[in-house]
Formats: sequence, structure tokens, C-alpha cells
Amino acid sequence: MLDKELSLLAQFPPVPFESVHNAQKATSKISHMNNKAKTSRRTFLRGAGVVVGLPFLESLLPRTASAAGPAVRRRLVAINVGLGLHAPNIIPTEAGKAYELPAYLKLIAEYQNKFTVFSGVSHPEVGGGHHSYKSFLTCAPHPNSAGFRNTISLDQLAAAQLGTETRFASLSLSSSGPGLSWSRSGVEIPTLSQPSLVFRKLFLAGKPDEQARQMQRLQDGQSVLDVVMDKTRSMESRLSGRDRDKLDQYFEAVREAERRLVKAEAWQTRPKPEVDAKPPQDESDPNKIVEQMRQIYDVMHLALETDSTRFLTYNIPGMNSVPVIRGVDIDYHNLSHHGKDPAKIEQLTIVESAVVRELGAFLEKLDQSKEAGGSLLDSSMVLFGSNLGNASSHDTKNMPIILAGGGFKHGQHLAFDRENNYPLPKLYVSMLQRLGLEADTFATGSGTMRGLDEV
Amino acid sequence: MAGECQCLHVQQGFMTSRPEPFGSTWAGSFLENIDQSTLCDAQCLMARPFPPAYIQTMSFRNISIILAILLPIGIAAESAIPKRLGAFVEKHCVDCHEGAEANSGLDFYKLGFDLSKEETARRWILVYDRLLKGEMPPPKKRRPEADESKAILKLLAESITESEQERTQVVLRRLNRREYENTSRDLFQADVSVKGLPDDTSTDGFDNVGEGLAVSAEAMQAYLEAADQVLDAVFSTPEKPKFIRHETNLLKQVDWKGRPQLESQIGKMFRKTDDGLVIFQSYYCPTNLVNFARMRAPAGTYRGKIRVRAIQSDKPVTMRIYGGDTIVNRRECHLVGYFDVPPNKWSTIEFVDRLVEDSGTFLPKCYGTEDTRKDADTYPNPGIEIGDIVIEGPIDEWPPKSRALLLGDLNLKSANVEDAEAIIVRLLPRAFRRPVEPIEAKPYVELFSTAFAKGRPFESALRISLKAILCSPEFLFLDEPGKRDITPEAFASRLSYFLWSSMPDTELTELAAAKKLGNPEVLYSQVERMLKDPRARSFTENFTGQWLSLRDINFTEPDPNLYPEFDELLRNSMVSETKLFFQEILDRDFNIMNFVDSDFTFLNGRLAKHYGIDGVEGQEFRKVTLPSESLRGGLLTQASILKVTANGTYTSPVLRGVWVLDKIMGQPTSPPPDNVGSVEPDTRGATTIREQLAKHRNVKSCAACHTRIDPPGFALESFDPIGGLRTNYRTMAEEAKRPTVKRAPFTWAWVRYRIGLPVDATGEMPTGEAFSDVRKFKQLLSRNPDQLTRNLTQKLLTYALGRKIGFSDRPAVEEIVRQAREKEYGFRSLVHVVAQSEVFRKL
Repeated sequence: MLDKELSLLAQFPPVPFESVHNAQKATSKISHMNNKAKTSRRTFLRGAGVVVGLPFLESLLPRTASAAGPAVRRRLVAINVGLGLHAPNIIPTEAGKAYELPAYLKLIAEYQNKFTVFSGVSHPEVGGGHHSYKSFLTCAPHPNSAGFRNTISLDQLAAAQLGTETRFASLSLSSSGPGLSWSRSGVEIPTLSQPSLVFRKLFLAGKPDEQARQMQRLQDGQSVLDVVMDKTRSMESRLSGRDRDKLDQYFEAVREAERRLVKAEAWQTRPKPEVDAKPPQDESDPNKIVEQMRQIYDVMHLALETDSTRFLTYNIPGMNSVPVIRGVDIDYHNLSHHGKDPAKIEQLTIVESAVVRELGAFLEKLDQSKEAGGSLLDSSMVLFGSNLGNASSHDTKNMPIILAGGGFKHGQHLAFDRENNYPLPKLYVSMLQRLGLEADTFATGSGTMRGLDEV
Repeated sequence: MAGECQCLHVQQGFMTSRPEPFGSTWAGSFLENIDQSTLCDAQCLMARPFPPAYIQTMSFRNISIILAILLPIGIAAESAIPKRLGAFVEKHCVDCHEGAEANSGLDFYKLGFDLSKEETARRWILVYDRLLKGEMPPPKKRRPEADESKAILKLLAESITESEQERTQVVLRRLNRREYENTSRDLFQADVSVKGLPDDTSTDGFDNVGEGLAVSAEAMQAYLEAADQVLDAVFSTPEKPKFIRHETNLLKQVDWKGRPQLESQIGKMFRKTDDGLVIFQSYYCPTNLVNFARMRAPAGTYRGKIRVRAIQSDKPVTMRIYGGDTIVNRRECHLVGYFDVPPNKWSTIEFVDRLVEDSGTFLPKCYGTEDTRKDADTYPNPGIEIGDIVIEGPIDEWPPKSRALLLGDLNLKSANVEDAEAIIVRLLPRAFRRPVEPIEAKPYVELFSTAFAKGRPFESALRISLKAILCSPEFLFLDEPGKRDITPEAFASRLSYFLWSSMPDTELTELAAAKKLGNPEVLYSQVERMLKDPRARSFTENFTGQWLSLRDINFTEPDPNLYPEFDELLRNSMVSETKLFFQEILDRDFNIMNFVDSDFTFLNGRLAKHYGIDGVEGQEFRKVTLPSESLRGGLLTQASILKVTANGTYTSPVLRGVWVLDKIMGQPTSPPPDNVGSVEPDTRGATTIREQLAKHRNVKSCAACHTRIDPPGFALESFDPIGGLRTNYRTMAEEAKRPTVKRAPFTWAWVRYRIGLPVDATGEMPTGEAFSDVRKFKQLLSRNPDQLTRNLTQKLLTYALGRKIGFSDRPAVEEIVRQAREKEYGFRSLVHVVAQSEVFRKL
């Protein structure tokens, strides 16, 4: 547990630690809203503190976004289900617009016109069974090879350029363990798994003395990194070749870390957005995965709604234990290796249906959250899928992929060759372009996805 | 040289070690998957040793000539192949190895000769090895003349070696997470545990290989945080934590209103006695020390004493204790240990445990007993009577020794800049592991003085300087300067990070400063001293964790229906066995062939029962001589290895085969081509995995590799996914026969599996020798000690140097193997030979 907390601190400029006492106060302050929160899953925002922009950073906006009129805030959410999604339940038989909804898509049928389902797509040269989750958003080849070096993930590439406006450039979430986001140098971005911690980070302010201490830490951090940068440069001068490259990478990391501290310091003086949602209580039973997913989706929604960040990734790696879902008594990982056993497939379908239902609830919230120019779903690309096409055989071809919202023309099944897959990185190029970035390539992909048009 | 496997997951165990993807430890290896068996690697070129005789004839004279006569062949644009080699390939190889239908997926036209590409170089090394062994061109084809072959081999060796020079250099190594923690612990002599540093990437099977250790802005921020954690431990709390001595008894536990906590269960789950409570529970057992939890004990080390006796048993009954947030299980919670409780007579269990968070407590309960919930007063089965309990602590020294070590007897109220400077100047040479000029301290001192001038207290200002030191590249990276050899200081570090995963101590540093480590006797005695030091546990831990994939032990959870006897104690015991076994071979300089087969192992009661070996009672580990008829002995038949090479449901001979080839035999398999599809496993049919594999081996392109991969896996088919011996598979098919056993040993879970098809553990080596079981297989394996030594040497060198070991290192490896042979393959001797080797001190 503490690990998670600290990895949170590692990922972002540390936020003050509230005492339990303080967190409770926050709860009671809004307790009169509890009933409301229960009856409606929609969350209400209060006050103008919600949209806290940093005006002086406006000039850093990409051209396309700041060009004419109120810019649409383009957002990206990517979700990966690490144990696959049983293909017959998610891949339609027919291609095109008039396709019959397979079992899982029936669960989100309401949004049929707001998503596209893809089949016959995968990342070229990405094998490696479960390890392929590492390449889900990076498309880096051979994720389980001995010399594997990951590359930057889609969200991080976008956040590096577009993440300057929000308090957090991006957030990497996970049900447990590692996430989907990777830095430019191929290092995993630390994840957050506890909904309460994400909530605290996003919305809870510390006591004045804690805030002061935090401010001091941010400033100390900057002084420390200044010295470290100088030291790195002087050490670098006596190195050569690959050693030098290594230290150069270090220098860049230090410099970027310092930039973030500067940004965090600027944000530290601004109040966090206030929300009327109750701070979530983390599930103590790790097997209650459905409840946990719901909580994470809830904070994801709040993060987008308050414009605290525009780039979110969420990894659902699955588990080696029995999820608490009615009708399931075999562990999830085992179920995914069903070996065509109908009894196991039946239970697997129950688990995966629950997973897809939570996605549906998330889409609903985004759809209902209105902002200038449309709904949050209109501005947020929601990529949902799995790094495994067939989890039972660890096959990484034919990845099941859904893209919802985000300003594309949806409502179709884009079916590609299941024998000779269409490169999925092309979808990522389309998404980068939709974000307003001038990208023609991403990782192994160049050019945009055939058949997917912008609104 | 290690094959990068696309779907033969064996390598995966070596990739990374991660926190909790599935609730337990994410250790990187899903070693499951039957389809691995069907996904075959068509190109079955194995890395082979490079005979010393040939190496001596290598020369570099012709390099310039070779480069001058590069001639492009084929369509692959960037590839240019030396003319002579091109002609040879045209003449002897392309008949079969060309185009889309190329044998083994090896298409020379596509391959090219850009040896700077790792994959291209790897394939040419395989070509080299097959040519060298005379395996290619195949016997049926026209053979090249001996001279012709020899010239081509020479040319290839030179080209590959040349291209590798760059790639095999040590790349500036960043301390990995474990090294960081150990180093900060040893630097300050503080009880440091660091959380939150990102995972380290593993390269060639080890997470200390410099090439793979990247840094990111996130990691940098994590280092700032980690430094805070280190300094918190160094300085400790400003006030001495209150010392608690808590005397209690299960009978005295009360709820938050002060009502007796366990009253309602007396006569049902528990039996009340004059001295305490008798408990029978191994599963649900609400015996948390709630009174202690309510005292909000500060984090720290605690000593516990529990009066106990086993009842209704003539043998000891096992008790287990958990610590931390055992009540709600939301915060940190851990196993304290398993303890033997002797029958009838009272005895005291004593334990020392660190509660890492405030307000923790302890939970004692039984292990391996049959629970009851209704009739405790008359229940006749074994249980444990728990009498008085004492918990006291924190027993940690306060102020900690690290504080005094850093600050001396400084009066912090009157301390000034000079004092801070003295502290920093004193610390730097140890932090940077080299002599440091006083001027280098300046920027760190300035950090202090700036803050101090602004009115920050001495300690707070000093922390900024120390933080900068801990984030400095000279602390975080292993700088290894030198000309041909690295400097003596760098050598001392290389040695200490090899054997301790930590910084050199004073003795080693002083010897380096006196330039004495170049003396073989001095070095020998230092290696001896270091191996005997407790810090050498890091070597056993990290080397076995990665070489033998032990870090993956939690990666899959055995199917509770098929393996109802699997439990925490068994899992922990498996790992202990392998580590103790490794340690014994290291400590006693036993022949490394013991890794393949041995007449001893280390067992406790739980594991002995699992192995079907009688006469081992209690949960303490001890060295046991194996019965002569036992299939066990050596690493391959240890439950830990059998578990990490299986998934929780079934075993795959392919996965185990690939593991044995890579880890033990040193013949890693190549990755399957990207276009090889996978065949979905089908567990419905009444066929064994072996039968499914047989179909597959009949395909010619698959057979090439599977004749090598499958045999070790077949030999291990006698063992199930949790390392139990089996004659038949277990199945959940309802039509199958029920076993006679109704409840699983230790866990008392109802047995639901049935008896499936019989196991066939026979096989045939690629060379044609047949084996009837794993014993015979181990004998066949034991016939090639050089190859096994060669493999272990490569792994050791990779780990010791923190870099990839390549083709150009073959002469160095061969020299080490030769010396090890002279020392009768003693494992400790091998470690010495590595430490003394030229390559170990080279830049």
C-alpha cells in the first residue's frame, strides 16, 4: 500500500499529506450531498475553482487548439484489459455499420454510434504474451526480448506537448501493479491504484502548515536539482560514447524533473478544484475488482471534468485470484486460460461482462457531462481494448479494440484481415492528429487509420 | 546470446520484477501456456561454444581488407556481405535458405550483413556455430572443403568480434533499486527501506546490466523522494518513541467498548483454560491482539514472546504469526513466521519483527490443523494452547547510530557552516566511492549555507545538501574510469556490487587506495571475507532470484481445485530450499554438477511431506540426504523451479524445456518468427499435452527445434505445477476416477480433482540417447560439465560486470572454464576465478 503512495509521489510533485483527520473533515463537509451522490452518479461541480487554468501558459498551447474561438479541449483516455477479452463476445461477425452487436457490445449498445470497434488489428512485431501490455500504448516491438527497451507511450507523447495547461500533465492508473504509460527513455511511469489517493491528489488541499512544508520541498527540490545538473555536466565532460549518452539521458531527466517542480510550485499557490463527490473509501478486499474499477473510473471522470488532466491511462491487469462477482469461483487468470472449456468460458464471460459494464458506466458519465461545444465524450477519445487477442493462447494478434468519442465518426465495425493484421499504430497516429498534433508517424506506424474519419 | 523468445516464455522471468499486478508479486513470468508448445521456432540454430583451439588462431589483421571488399548481395539495401562469404553462401546455403519458404525462416538475402544490428549479429553467430560444428550444410548436401570452411569461419569470427567491441562495453551502470537501498544503508549505517523507485529493466536476464537501466523525469522525482526516506531513517524522529511493554492474553482481548472480544466463540471456536485459550483454527481465526493495536504503537522493531503448547497431539503443531494491519488488512500486513509448538509441555515462542507502519499489531493462529467452529470444548484434534503474551518495543536504538555517525557529537544549536562542510567532506568519498577533492564539496556546502543563511535550522539545511549528494550522478552511477583496466577504486566497487550489491566497506576501500587488490592473494582473501559477510546474502538473493527465476515464484497461483494442498508455507519453503541449496554449494565449494544432480537437499516438514520423504518433522530447514530411489536431487527437481516453469493449471514440456536449455544447459532457443501463429490449447480432449505436442513435432519446421526443446520438458513431466511427484495428471473431468484421498494434506480442503491420464516422462535426446525418467536424464546432462560451467560462467559474468556477454567474450569465458575445470568445478572456486579474471578488471 505504501508503495503505491510513494509511487504517486514519485510520479508527480508531491502533494501534501493530509492527516486522516483532515480527510474526514473533507468528508463531513460535503456529507449533506451524500444522498444526492448516491441517487445520481453524476457529480456536481461547485464554484469557479473548477476550471483553473494557468493563463500565462496559454502561449504554450498548440496552434490548432488556440487558433479560433474557444478551443475544444482534446483529451485521451486509454484502458487495457490485461487478460484479454473473449473474442467471440466482442468482435462482430459483420463489418461496416450494420453489424449485429456481440454480447459485450450489447452492454454498451446505447453508445453504438459513439464508438468504433476494430478487428484484425495488432501491433507489428509485438509478441510476448502478457508482456505485450508494455507495448499496448507504445507499440515497441518484442516486449519480452532480452534487450527490450520500451519507447514513449501515446499518452506521454501527447501530454509532453499538450499537458502544460492542467495541474497534472497526465495520470497513469492501474488496478494493481504496473501501468501503461512509459517515458521517452522507456521507463515506466509510476501508477496510482488507490482511488482515495487519486482523489486526494486531485481535490484535497492540505492544512496551511502542510502546504508550507510542501512549498519548501518543491523549492528545495529545485535547488538540489540545480546542483545535480551542474554535477552531471561536469561528469559528462570526462566521459565518452555510450557512457556519455547515458549521462545525457540523466541530465535530461533531471532538467525535466526540475521543470515539473517549477510547474508544481506555480500550481501550489492555486486552490484545487472543489467537487461534491465524497472521497472514495478504498476497497479493502482486493478481489472486489468491479467496485474498484468503478471507483477508479469515477475519479477519472472527475479528473476530466475538472480539467485536472487531459491524459489518462488505466491498466486492468487482472489477478491470480477469484474476483468477487456472482457466479464466479475460479480465479480470473485461470479463466482466461480456458482451453476452450465451456464452463470456464461461461465464468470468464461473467467477469469480462462486468469489466465492459464499468466501461459503459464511464462512457455514460462522460456523455452526460456537458461543456462548451458538447459533452466530455465528444472531446475525449476513449481507447479500450486488450494487448492479447487470445489470452488462452497468449496470442497478441487480433487485438480487440474499441475507440469511443473524441471527435471521430463512429458507429461502425472496422474489420481488417485476421490472418494478416492491419497495423494498430496507425490508429494512434489518427488519435495524435485529432489531438491537434502534427504527427505522421507513431512508433512502427506511419499514416492514419484507413476508414476512420474525424467529425 | 540469450534467445529472445517471442512466446517461449522462459526469458520472461528475467525481464523485470514488479510490484503486485495480480495481488501478489509481479515477477514477470507467466510461464504457462501450452500453445508455446505449438508455436515453434522454426529456426533452430543454437548458440554453441567456441572451442579454445580456434580462438587462439583469431587475428584482426584482415579487418581492413574485409571491409574493403564488401559486396552487396540480394535486395536488402543496407546489407553488404564480404565477397568471399557471399560466394560461400551462394554456393552452400541459399538453395535451402532463401525466400519466403526458406528453411528455418533463415533467408540469407533478407538477413544482410549489418552486424551492428543485434538480431542480425545473433543470427550470424548461429550460422557460425552450426558451420563450426559441421551441422551445416547438412550431411546430404555437398560439403565445403575444410580450408574453405576454416577461412569463412575466421572471416565471420573477425567480423562479428569487430562489430561487437562497442556493444559489449560496460555502459555506465545506474544503481538499481536493490543496490540503491543497500548502498544508502551501508553509507549511513541506517536501517533504510526505500519505496517508490521505478522498476528496473532487465537485460540478458539481469537487472544490473547498465544498458537497460534508464532514467526518466519520474525516476528523478522518485530519487528526490527516496533521498527523503533515507534521510528520515538516518536522522530518525526528533523525540524518542515511547517504549511499550504490553503484557496480555487472548482472554483479555476486549472490543472498543471494553467487552470481552472472544467470549462468544468460547466453546465453539476456542476452548477456555486456566492459562489462556486453545485454538484449532488455521483459517478464519479472530485472535488479533486488538488491545495492542489500540495502543497505537509507533512503527519500529518489536520483540514478542508467546507461551504456547500443542495439545491433543504427540507431534509438534505449527503456529504462524502475522504482523501489521492484520485486523482490517487494508494497510501493510506481513508474515512474521512459522513456529513449531512442542506438544504438552509449555514453551515460549520468541520473535522479533518490524512493524513498518504505526498502529500495527500481531495475529497468531494455527497452521495445518483441522478447524472447528462449534465444539471446541470436546474437539479431539490437535490445537495450540496460547498462554501469556508479551510484546515490547520499539527496541531500535534511539537516537540511531547513523545519526551519531553522521553528526558526531555536534551541538546542533551552535553548529555552523564549517561543521556542515566537515560533515559533507567526510561523507563524499564514501558516497562517491572514490577519493574526492575538498573543492568538490563546494556546491553541496553552498546548498547548506544558502538555506542556513535564510534561517533554516542546521539539520534541515544539512538535509538539502545530503539530498543533493544522494541524487548526484556520482552516487547513482557506477563510474568505472581507467585505461585498459579500471581504477582500483572502481574495481573495489565492481567487486562489492558483485558480491554484496552494495558499496565497498572501509577495508576494501583502503586496500584499493593502497593498490593492493591487484595482488591475487589479497583479492582471494577479500573475496573469501566478502562471501562470509552477511551482505553476501544479496548475492544469493539477487543471483538466484534472476538466474533461477525465483523472483517469479508468485507469478501464478495454482488452481485450488487441482492443487488444493498448495499454501503459503509450501511456497515459502520451495524458495528457501533452493536458496539454501545454492548457499551450501557456494559455501562448501561443491562441484557445480550438484546443480544438475545431488544426493542432498534442504527440507522442512512441509516440503518433505510434499516430496514424500519421511522423517523430517517441524518447519526448521535442515540438510537431508535423499533416499537413493528418490527422483529428487539437483535444481531441476526442486519444487520452486518446477513451479516457476509451469502455470497454475498445467505444465508445458516446452516451457520447461526452454528454461532448462537457457538456464542450465546454456543453449538458449531462438525466438519463433513473428508470422508463426499460435495454436489454441484445448483442454477438453482426452489427450495429454505430450500427445498434443507429438502432432506438432511431426511438422518438419517445428521438429527442428522441438527435438531439442522437448526432451528436458518430458523428463520433468513427472512433476506437477507445484512440484509434486505424479504418475497421472490431475483433471476436473467428471468422468474420471476419484482419488482415494478425500481432503488435501495441511489445508484440509476437499479434494475435487480426479485422476487423469498417466504421465509419460520418457524421452530421447537430440543425440539419440533415450531416457526412462528424470534420473537418467540428469545423468545424460551430467556428462558435459564444461558446457554447464560455461553457461554458469556466462551468467556470473553478466551479473558481475553488469553488461552483456557476447561472442567476443568467448575466449575469456573459455579461460574461466578451463581454470574451473582445474579446480574440479567447485562453485566457490568459480566465483574466485571470475573475480580474478582479466575480464573482470578490464574497462
